[in-house]
Amino acid sequence: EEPDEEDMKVKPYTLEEFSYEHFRTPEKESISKAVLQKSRGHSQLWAHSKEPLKQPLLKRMKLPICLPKFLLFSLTAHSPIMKFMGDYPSKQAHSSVEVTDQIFVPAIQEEVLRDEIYCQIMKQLTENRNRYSETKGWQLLWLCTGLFPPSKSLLKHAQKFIETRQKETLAPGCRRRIQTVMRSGCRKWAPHPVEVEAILQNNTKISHKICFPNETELTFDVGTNTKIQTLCQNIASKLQLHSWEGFSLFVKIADKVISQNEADYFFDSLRQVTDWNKRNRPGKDGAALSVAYEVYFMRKLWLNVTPGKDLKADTIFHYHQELPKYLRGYHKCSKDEAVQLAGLIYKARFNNDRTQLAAIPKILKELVPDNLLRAVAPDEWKKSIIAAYSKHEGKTVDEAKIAFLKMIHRWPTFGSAFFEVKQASEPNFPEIVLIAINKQGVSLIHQKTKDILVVYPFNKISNWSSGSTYFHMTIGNLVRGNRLLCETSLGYKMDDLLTSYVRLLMNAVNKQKNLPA
Amino acid sequence: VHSPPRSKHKMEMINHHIFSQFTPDQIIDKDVRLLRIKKEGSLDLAVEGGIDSPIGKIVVSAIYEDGAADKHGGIVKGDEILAVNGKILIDSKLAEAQATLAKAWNMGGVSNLEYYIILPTELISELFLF
Repeated sequence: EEPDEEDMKVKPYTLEEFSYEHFRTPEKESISKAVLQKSRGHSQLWAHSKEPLKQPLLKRMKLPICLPKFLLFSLTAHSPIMKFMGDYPSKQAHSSVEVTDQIFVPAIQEEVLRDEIYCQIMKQLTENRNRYSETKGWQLLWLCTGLFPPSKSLLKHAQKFIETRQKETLAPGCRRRIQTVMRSGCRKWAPHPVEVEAILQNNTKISHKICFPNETELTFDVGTNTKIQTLCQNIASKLQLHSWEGFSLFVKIADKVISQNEADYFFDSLRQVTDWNKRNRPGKDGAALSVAYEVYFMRKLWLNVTPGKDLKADTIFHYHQELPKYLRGYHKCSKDEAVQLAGLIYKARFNNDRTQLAAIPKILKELVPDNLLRAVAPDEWKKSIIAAYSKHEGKTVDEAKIAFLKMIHRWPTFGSAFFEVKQASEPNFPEIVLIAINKQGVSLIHQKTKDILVVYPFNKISNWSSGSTYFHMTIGNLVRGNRLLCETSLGYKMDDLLTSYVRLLMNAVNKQKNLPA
Repeated sequence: VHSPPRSKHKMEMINHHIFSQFTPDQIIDKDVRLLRIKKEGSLDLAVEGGIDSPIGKIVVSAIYEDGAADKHGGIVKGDEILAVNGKILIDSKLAEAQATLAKAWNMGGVSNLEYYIILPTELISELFLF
């Protein structure tokens, strides 16, 4: 067979030179095999082989380094890289993610294993005559270059290895990814199933669906090295929001909605949440790999929110996030206010369609707070809501949403996250109280009267912690302070919310301090 | 959303003999019950808290699907565990309680495991909106 011109020009670089200094010597017992293979031109440790490795390639892995034996073992005896590439068929059927986990999880934990993985992949990509195996090998290298870079000593060999194989579709991308991961830092979790599935289809671009509270959705490009904050910025600019401060991404999984840390990589965070969910439901084995989830973008912290200032934020987020809390009856609201607000809710939902007015008694729950439903007879509600609605004829749907927000913005509980908890620390308060966390701090609210019993400002809260069944907070100093212990299964959310508010407020204070006088 | 209803027939009210294990102030005003969970498969129950934690007691933090605790149905997240197979856990740290639970479950001989738990601690409101 005639080698084509391209191949003549650039000879593919191999790890041969690197191997002289850094690879171990081939195993003694395999010399006879090596001789046998040499006659077929396959004897080198740095070239493709179908023989599973008995020991790591790198010499330094044999030194007495502090590394659990099972980690080394995991990369050799199980040959996960060969398994992934189809060079070493395994008896058990493993999903692709199970195999990529076997390869990358140990290396993410132990930096010293990373070069070994790079070397094993490049070895299997050297003089590989099997096109299938080669394609899978490049997919693996693509994943690897997104997670962590090779060490200094291996870097230029790896770069040369990739550069001399530019004909490979994934090679230019792999080269760029090494640069990126060196700049922005290593990943903390192994590739998410979505990432693995994408590259198995040779998709190097991943579009991810993001949902919004007004029941719309958009797709955004997310990559291996996309940070949550970058994604938040992209979403905010595409939606033309004034600022993304206080907004956050949330993963909705099973019955939980978990806020993502903006400093993390998107797929790290997603992996963490799905794995966490898996751990919490160990009974469900089969469902583990295809955990259904949705990603939401919503306002998390309600600081500097003045209705009417940011039309997009008000109509896509604020209205649709505040409405369900209002309808649950968490705020202190008079009957008159409820009538006015119901008129606006009707307008926002049905605009000029008057045909639904007759059905008001049937959809009362979607117009009036839960605790006021029985305060007036349904037909009374209907009459007064129609009257209130009629005043808004000239308004657009968006104007009705903003008018709703402007009314409830006057309440001290506007922009709160609410938690129904059981408390035993404060004998003067009822056992079951409503806790509101908002920009003022943590408030305790009487569940029936909706009176605010006490407000603990953030600067008075000295300490807080949570478990699966409780939330605990210390107010004032440890010697003379109060304790608040609540029974709740949402303690982790109260904890996260409090932490986020305090962090944002501290940042604001520090910015003020650093301003020139 | 409230905790699922408990299968009451599997729970037995505490009798006088067992009562004597605790001092009166340990169980005053509390609904103490005895649970017998059959040792089959794994228990799949997690606890949190302990004497040195903010809650000061051992509390069930998770019941995993299809484990023995889940199948029994008489114990739910949020329940306080007072004792396991006669060993009182009221002043225990978390690690001690976990060790006691594991040991009692893995020990041969007794086909049932006896738990004294305080009922009911209904955790309220799973619904949450930002």
